[in-house]
Amino acid sequence: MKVFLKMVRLQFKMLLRNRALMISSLGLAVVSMLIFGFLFSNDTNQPLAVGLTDLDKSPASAQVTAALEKNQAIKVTTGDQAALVNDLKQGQYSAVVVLEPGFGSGLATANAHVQLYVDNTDIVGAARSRGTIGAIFDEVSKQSAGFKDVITVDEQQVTVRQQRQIDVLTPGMLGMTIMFANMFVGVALIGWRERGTLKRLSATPLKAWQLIGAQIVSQLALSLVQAALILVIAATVFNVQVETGWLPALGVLVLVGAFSIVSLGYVIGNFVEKQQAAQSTATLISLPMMFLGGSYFVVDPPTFLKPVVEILPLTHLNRALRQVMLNDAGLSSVLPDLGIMAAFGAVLLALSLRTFKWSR
Amino acid sequence: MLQVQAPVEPHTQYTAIEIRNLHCTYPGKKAVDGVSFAVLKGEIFGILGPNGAGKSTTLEIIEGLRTPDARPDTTVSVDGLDVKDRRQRDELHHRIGLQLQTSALFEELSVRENLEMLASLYRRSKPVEGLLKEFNLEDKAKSRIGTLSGGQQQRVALAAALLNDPQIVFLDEPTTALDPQARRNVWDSIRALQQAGKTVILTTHYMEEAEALCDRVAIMDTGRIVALGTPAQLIRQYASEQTITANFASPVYRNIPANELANLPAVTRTVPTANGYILHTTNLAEAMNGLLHTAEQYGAAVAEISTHSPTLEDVFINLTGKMLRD
Repeated sequence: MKVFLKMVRLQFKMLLRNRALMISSLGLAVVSMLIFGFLFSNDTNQPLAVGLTDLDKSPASAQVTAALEKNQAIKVTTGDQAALVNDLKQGQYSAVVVLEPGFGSGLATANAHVQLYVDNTDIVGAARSRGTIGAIFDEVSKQSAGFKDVITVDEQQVTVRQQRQIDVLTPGMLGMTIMFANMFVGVALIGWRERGTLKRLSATPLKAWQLIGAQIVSQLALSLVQAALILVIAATVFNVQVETGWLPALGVLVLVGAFSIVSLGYVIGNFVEKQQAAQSTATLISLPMMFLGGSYFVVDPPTFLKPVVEILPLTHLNRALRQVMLNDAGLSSVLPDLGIMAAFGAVLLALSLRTFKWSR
Repeated sequence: MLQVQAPVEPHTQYTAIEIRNLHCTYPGKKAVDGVSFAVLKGEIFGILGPNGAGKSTTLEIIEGLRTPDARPDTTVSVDGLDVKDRRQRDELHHRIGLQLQTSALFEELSVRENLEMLASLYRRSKPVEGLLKEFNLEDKAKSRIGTLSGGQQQRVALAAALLNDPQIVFLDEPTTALDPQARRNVWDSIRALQQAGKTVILTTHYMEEAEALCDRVAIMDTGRIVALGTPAQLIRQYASEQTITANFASPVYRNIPANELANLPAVTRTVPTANGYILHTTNLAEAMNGLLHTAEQYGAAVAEISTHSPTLEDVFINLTGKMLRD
């Protein structure tokens, strides 16, 4: 056991020192999330959909309403406050503006109040609303009071549970990270075999299962760390909802998913002779798997591709991760996916252990 | 070619390793073709031969890294363990230390991390810090293996071979690709192993290394042992002729009739050169005497004179008809 733990620790150290692996696994996911999260989630050419309620009904508020309606950057729909906020929560508006009673008289006393409801899960939309609507009210202040700030905007944040592109993307990026972090385990193995490291180890009392077991455990540990990083980035930068209640299920999925991919990586490590060839093989498998497995978008494959898609462990990992993160599913409802990944991993690992070679 | 059946000493408490009728066939090639020898405890035993002679294969079988051809008459016994029995290899690996031709450690880990990793595998191990000090690696303890020079890597490999304080140490070409200074340092380390009472088996294709280090040498060629003995024995047996090279000060020496030198006692052959002769002889002193006497008779002043004693290199050329490093 002491030997095993020592090996796990050192293998983990080697993984962390492998910069190429860190960049290819974590980096691709983070860059993808940045691109999809920031560039494509909000179409900034479209005017902002804004709901408006005038509770003041004064000439001044009518004037402001007209100013808002005239502005090209926003598309105003007027209506009842409760109905509009409800629609905001359904994702129909980026913001709802409420002109408080006493708005018109307040302009003279610098005590005019406006409520601005924004979606706090949509940072870009919320920022645009804040900026655009704030600028309009500044203009009104300027005209009515001459550069004095007479309007107070009270911001109300609501949480919208609509599925944005980033919400659907995040579980897929999680799955992709797990795949890239584990797919290349065989490349390292072949390197050690080529340099004679494995032969040297075979001249010690070390057993093959101790070496492979330690490598698998360190890979699983790395996968958990990377998954945690992806979730933290998703939650803090992109406001993706991550419930603490999901974490056990996500943890199990990450571990089983990583196990299935690492076993695939070992098969490559045992059946390919040269490190360079293994690198290409792993890349050739992982790139199609990344798309077919539905990392970037959920795929609906043509019939002839269905069996291929259904056997890929990444398909099941992504599917199960989306079930948990988008539909609040528990582990029991993703048992088929878990079972397929575990079986895939077990079969390939058994094959790898049987064909394991210390030297060429 | 002449196949020398090396005498195998009876298995005694003095024998560290005993090999009989070892064969190893690769697809399409017989790498080891009936090798037998024994290594005594405390001895430095060299296996000498050109690349592809079967040295490393032989060594790897003895180390339990490779399985020999299954034959009932084959014996591979190391420290009393039957290496052919896979179940005894675990025990074997606790007891032996070895160094392979390749650098063979984790390049991503430092010197200390590698040594600590290997140390943790043995039921008993020497303190890593002590070995780092012994092999002058303290400055390099935190360096990754990949950043070390060839000589430094070789010192790490040697330190790694001694982690479990083995009584039998295997070194596969320990000085290949090292500069002369690094080579001498490794030689000193190997001699220190012998002084500590360990048995050392090494392969080399450097003759001077075998002569400088080994108590006994087995010369291998194309999978067989073609000669076995102490370096002195082998030279006496397979390369007894010495040579004298004499250069004269002036052309006066041409007055000496050629056959007068060839007929000198103990001289077997003369070869003319630009300024004199090379004399082949079985007795250096007698031939030298005769040469100087004859030169004086004819008034030919000798400008310089040198002698060459045969080495294992000559033994090898005489035995196999080829150069070692071919």
